[in-house]
Amino acid sequence: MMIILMALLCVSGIKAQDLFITRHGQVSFFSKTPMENIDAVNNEVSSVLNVKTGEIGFAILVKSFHFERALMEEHFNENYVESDKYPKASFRGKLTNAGAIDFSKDGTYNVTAEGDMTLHGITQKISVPGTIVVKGGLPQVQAKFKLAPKDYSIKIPSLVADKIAETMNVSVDCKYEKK
Amino acid sequence: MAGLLCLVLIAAAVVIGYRMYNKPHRSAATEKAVELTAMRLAADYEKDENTANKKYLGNAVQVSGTVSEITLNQQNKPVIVLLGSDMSGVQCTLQADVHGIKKGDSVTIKGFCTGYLTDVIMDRCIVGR
Repeated sequence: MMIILMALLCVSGIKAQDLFITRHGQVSFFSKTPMENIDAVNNEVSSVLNVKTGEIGFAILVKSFHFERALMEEHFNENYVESDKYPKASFRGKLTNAGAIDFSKDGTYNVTAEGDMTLHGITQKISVPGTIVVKGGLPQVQAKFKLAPKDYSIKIPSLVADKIAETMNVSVDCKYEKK
Repeated sequence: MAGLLCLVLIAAAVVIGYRMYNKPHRSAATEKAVELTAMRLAADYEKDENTANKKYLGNAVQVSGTVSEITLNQQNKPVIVLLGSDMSGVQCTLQADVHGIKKGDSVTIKGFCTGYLTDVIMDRCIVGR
């Protein structure tokens, strides 16, 4: 998926200096219920940001999410996201206000990314608020948003429904380098 | 007699349940791994991702190869990329610090394959056999 994204960017005549990437960005999610806290982090997120067009993409291997409890990680992979069947999740979209950001100037900018979120084989259109911190000419993207497992056909058995919240709090924190 | 048997069974169930609940994470150090070169692993994924996933996804893999890149991720864990093919390498996130490994070194890394993005991705890795 990343190769297709990169190829599309190349074909449209994008200059290398417009592209920033990371191969080890971070995405995490958590939920709290009176019964159980769920907390997972993925440090192998691949992402590309085109500062000229505002196009932004994230490619995530679901098996790279790690939980403190091994049994929880096993259930997540085998029963909920079915990672053998759907090993990848992704976001492909665009920053709505890329033109308003001066990526050559250090600062913190509020942004909104709109696009397609794909998880468990299902794609949904989402809009996510976040910030871009530019430091030394390099951007860092941070965002927090909520995601409902049922929107992606992730079935939580009623037996454990009180341990798993209906929405997950997702956090994105990616530091980019020049391509 | 039946009461004692019941008690033993219940105790066994509790112990098994407790141990499952707290089961340890899979460890690259102890699990038997598929052994191959980084070049072969990258080539297999480039050729046919689905077939490669059937062989490697979620499994313990031991790759040998040349270090093309060594960096730290956002949790300060070392990330070593092994030379694969023209298009893809094998990116390995290590569990602990490694001293003295530099670009150009030949290394053997054991970990778990989580799939394929622009590189083949492995994590929970350790260096050495």
